[in-house]
Amino acid sequence: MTEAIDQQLPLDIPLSHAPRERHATLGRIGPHSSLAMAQSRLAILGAVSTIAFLVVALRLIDATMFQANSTIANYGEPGGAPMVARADITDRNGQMLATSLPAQSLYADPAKLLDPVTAARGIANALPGIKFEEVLDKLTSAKRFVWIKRNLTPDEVYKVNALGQPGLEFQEESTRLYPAGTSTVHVLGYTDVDGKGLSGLERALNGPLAAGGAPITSSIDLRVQHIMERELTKAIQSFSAVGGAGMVMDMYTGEMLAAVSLPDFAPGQLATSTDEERFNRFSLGTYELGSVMKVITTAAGLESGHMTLDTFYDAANPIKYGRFTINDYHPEHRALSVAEVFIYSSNIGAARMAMDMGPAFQREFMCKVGLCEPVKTELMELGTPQIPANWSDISSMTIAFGHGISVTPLHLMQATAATLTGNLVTPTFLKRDDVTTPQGVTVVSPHTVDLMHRVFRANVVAGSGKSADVPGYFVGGKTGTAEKTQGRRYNRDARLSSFIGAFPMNKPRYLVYAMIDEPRPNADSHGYATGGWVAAPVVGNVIAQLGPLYGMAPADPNDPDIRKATQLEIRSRQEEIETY
Amino acid sequence: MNRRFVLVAALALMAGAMVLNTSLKTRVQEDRLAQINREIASEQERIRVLTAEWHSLKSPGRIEALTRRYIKDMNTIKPVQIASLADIPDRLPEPETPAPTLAQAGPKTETVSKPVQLASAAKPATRSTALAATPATATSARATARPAQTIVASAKPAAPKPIATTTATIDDSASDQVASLINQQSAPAAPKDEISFIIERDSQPRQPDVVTASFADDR
Repeated sequence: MTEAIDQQLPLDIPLSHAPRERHATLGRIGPHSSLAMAQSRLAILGAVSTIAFLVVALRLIDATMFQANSTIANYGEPGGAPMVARADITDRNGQMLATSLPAQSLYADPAKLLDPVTAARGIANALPGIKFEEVLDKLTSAKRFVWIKRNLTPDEVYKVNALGQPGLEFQEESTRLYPAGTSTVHVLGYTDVDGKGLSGLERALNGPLAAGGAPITSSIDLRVQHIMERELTKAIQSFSAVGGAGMVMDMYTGEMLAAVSLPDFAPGQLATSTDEERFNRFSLGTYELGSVMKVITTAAGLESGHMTLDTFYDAANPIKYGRFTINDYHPEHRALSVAEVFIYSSNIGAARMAMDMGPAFQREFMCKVGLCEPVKTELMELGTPQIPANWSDISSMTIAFGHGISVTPLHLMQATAATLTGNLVTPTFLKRDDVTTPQGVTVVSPHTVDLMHRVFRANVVAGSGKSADVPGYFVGGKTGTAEKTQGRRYNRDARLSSFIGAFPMNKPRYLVYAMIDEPRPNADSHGYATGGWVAAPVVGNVIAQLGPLYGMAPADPNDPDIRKATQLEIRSRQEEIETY
Repeated sequence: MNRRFVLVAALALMAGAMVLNTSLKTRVQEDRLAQINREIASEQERIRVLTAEWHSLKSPGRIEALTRRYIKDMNTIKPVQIASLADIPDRLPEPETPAPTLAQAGPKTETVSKPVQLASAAKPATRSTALAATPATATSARATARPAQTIVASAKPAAPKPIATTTATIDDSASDQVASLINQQSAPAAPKDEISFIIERDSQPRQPDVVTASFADDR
């Protein structure tokens, strides 16, 4: 319209300058001028409305064709939920171990509050663990957004809503829940309040878990995990120990069916948990594991070609080497064969075996079975083995019976599995495909593997691991009792008692380990708190429940085929032959 | 000119009305869609909560605690308690005594006698072969090992040929076949009792007892 007015102006200007021509001009131009004016106005009107319709049409096309999807998304499509829930973690049988549930978190906008003091008092009453002064500080701050409490229970949400205070708002968030309880906490780990994984699988798989989607299946079998936790707890209580660790591994696949570290804590009680409870003893803690390391020494010796099970080593007297004296816990005061060194757990014999095979070979073998570097598994809480920089003769001798080297129990599992199947397989906390033969890289010869089966079995039949036996399952294993170091000295009363066992020894598939930290002799143990008294029964109890659980029928203890595959003839120097 | 304008205007009006109608309907449908989607989302949320609760309820630790509390004599299974079927000794009945299952089952003992009557009465040849043919093939392999029941279907001393076909050993599955065959014949007998029972019940005047009252309340 302004354009139309502008166009009128040139008509008027000459008129003011020539008043005399005014009438003539009016008379001459008049009809022409109004017609032109009407035409131009029509044209302008038409143009404006055309443009307006064009805009509407374009917007219509845009809205219907290009923004079609975004419009639909506003209609509460379930798939288009704004918040992606963190993926679940289940055990190998689908039992849920970790899940995410929606939760309400309370925040305040102090500017909207009418009466901060009343509101603060109400909140302090409604929410346990929230102090009046703290809330009041928050509610009187100059900020426009302050968190009061995260992840409220439905009951707490109701109470806060009942206060009727403006300025208190809820933000929908996701909270992490562990329906299986405490026993898996060191495998699963936990998340912070924003849902970021801080330890365990939650931390190791934070990326895939945060992306949501299908549940992640862990290798843990919650039933086995529960059995291990129960038996370990019993032993810790019975021997007044400070803690313990236990694991069950499928040696064919490397899957960890159970991994327990005690004491533990409920993931929800992270804030009140102690360092001791948060410490992962099975994959992070490194220990001088003691005699269970003779498993590795024996396998290394047999692989070296320097000895057979019938090779004799002088174990009559303690070895004196510099300031060290190597002695036996139960001295036999005679020469012992390799098999006897294993069964009677002779430190002297093991040290002499190490010398015979040579420190270089011993080191090479131990590195080959994975004892020189952190275990390659999903968890990020991984202990680095403490091995001597200079693998001297004396370190070689002490390492032979498990002192002077600190590894994690998980290292021992990996290495022992290698000596019993021949294959080094990386332990995993995620489910793998079921197989019928051992996976991994072959590191030990079949002949050594066969002999290892026999000494394992003989140790349970005739040696220190008798209480791990379960009739029909042909358990084999090795005990270990290590004195813990305190400062630079070993403490006789602070022990680490452990047992590593496998079954069935004619074709071992499952490896079970129990370690009890600082057990004290109890009323029934005749003053003993050794691996055979403390840890072997734990392994035996676990196997007695694991076998039936996995549908393994116990075999006839006198089955000739199995006896042939597991028996061992032990010759002592006096030419007495004992068969186990 | 004028009429055409009216026509176009009317058409335009109609089209406009239809578009408006459709658009309103669409909005209603969209609202419904949004409502349903919200419901689905909230149901899914509830399912997640319930699933989590279910998994916590069936966690081994809780089940074990409940078992210890309520099932006093149930202990952890021991390996010695596991046995395979092969470990159970095969206890065969004595040859003279009939198999215990057959002795207990009333109708089956009847079936033994009835085919004999039927076979001899109506069509001896066809009936007896029909009965005997299937059992014979079914049991030929294990007839010697299993407890067996012998049916002598036809008793025609003059005919030597049928002996092979009519005398057959019948194992359990075969006797079931026979039983079903006979039940077709004697079917009316058993259900008759049931029917009469129901009729008696129905014929009685209805009593305004507690049960019916509670049903009425439910409705």
